[in-house]
Amino acid sequence: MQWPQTFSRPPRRRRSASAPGALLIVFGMLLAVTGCRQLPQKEWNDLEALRRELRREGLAGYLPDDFSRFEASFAKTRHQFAVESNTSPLFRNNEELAAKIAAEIAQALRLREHGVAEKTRLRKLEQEAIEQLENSVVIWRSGTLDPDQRRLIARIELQTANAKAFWQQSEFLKVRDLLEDIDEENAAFQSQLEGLTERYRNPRELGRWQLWAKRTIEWSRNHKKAALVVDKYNRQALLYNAGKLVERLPVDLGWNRFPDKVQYGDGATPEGRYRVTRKKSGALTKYFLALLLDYPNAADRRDFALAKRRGEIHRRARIGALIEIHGEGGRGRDWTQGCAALSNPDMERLYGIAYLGMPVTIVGQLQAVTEGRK
Amino acid sequence: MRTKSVLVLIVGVLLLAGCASKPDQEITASQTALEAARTAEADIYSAETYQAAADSMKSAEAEIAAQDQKSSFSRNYDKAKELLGQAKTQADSAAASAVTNKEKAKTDAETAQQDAQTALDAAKAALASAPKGKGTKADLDALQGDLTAAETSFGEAKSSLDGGKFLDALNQFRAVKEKADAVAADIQQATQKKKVS
Repeated sequence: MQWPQTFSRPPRRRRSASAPGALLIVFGMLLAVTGCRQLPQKEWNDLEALRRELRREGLAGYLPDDFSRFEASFAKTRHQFAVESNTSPLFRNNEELAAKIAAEIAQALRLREHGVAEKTRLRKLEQEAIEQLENSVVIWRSGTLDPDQRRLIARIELQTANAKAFWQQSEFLKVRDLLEDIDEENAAFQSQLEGLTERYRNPRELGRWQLWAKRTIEWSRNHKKAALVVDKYNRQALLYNAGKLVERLPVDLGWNRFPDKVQYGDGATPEGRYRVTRKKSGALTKYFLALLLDYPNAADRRDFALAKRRGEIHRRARIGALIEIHGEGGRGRDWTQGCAALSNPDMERLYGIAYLGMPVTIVGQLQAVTEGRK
Repeated sequence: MRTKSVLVLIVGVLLLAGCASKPDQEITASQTALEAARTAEADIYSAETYQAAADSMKSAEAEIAAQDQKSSFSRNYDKAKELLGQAKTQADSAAASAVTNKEKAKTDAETAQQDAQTALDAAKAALASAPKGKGTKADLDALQGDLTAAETSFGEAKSSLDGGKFLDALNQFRAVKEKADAVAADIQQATQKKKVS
């Protein structure tokens, strides 16, 4: 076939020169496009590492709702990442994926910050709660020898020790649950304790005790002699001379600390206005030195008879006796059968001052009176 | 000739596409391994490795889902298989560690139980043989209250041990031992006070 002169085919040389150029341009453009569409692999790795860290630190439990939202969002991003990984670089939507991953990373960082803050807060609160419980247990233990109360206190003590062990193992969520259990035991004990100390909150009782103490102090002032006031609630004996407070002495009381003494063997320390009837030393006492009181006095006998008539105590019950202020105390807990025990050095000083007929007034508490005299 | 070539090409492509089938066998193997790890309580006793296995499994599932969205001609489950293999290896490892760690926790708890029992027996014997007099009776009765509480806690610790909660049991038995030792020391002190007075 002959080509017409005017439409003759272009020279081959020229066509072959332009084709590689065009291919090069296309190839270059492809490279440029795909180069810009690399998967955000590094960011993804960072996100996964952050998520692992959140789990390793156990932060999920501190912000459960936030963490489950994060997990749901992470699952979607993981799916999208897998989809994009399997898509040709030419058709990837990397910008959207990168933005999602960046948002996830920001969320993970926030979770880490808040989770650590919450964990630290809980750790501190629990530490305080455990320390408070440990201190309370020491105080409660020192305040009673009643076996039932001691059993309740020991239960709280054991559970506190258990919680402390988990706390030391950084299991703060577990400790939170354990402390809730302790609260229940504590409530049972507090309720028993409140029952026992109810009359200490009774204004009439307080008024009566304050009056006794006031009269004792007045007697001391008027006679310019020593007198002793024992405050059961605060476990201290206040020594007055000529109406002035000269010394506060710690005392151990009857193992049944809070009630008034009603009968023999109840372990309670009697409340009332008494006098020293005998000073005992050497072989006369096994408690270093002792001041025997005139318990039971007329008021105690009347109360005892009334309790028997009302059937509050057994008809064969006996009234107690031999209530003393004696030595061998200073144990920091209530252990006597109803006496008030001082440490031997304190008892030695008191014994030197004491005299027959010295007033010894024992009250539940006399907060207002003692505060007024401070 | 040209038609023949096209047919061969189509058959070849179809064969290749047929090769890219879902890795069901690997999925089952990984799921079974994860289930076994969970049964071995790897989520408690080998938590980090177990979590890594679970994560690999999730990644594999995401990869499979991504492949499923593609046309059957371009599907490739190689990466999914790799992730599934990784999940299985990690799950197996978590299960093995869990067995070891759990056994150790159990042994530790049992040792703590024996120690607590010995301490309780010693405290009870001391209480039974302590002379009860005016100066000690109240003290000893109170210590009996303490000991009763320790025995109750011992029972709870034993329930934890029987229930497979070895870490709980370990701490509980240790607290009981500490308390029983303290009671024994208090009994000795109370008895000595009696001797002194």
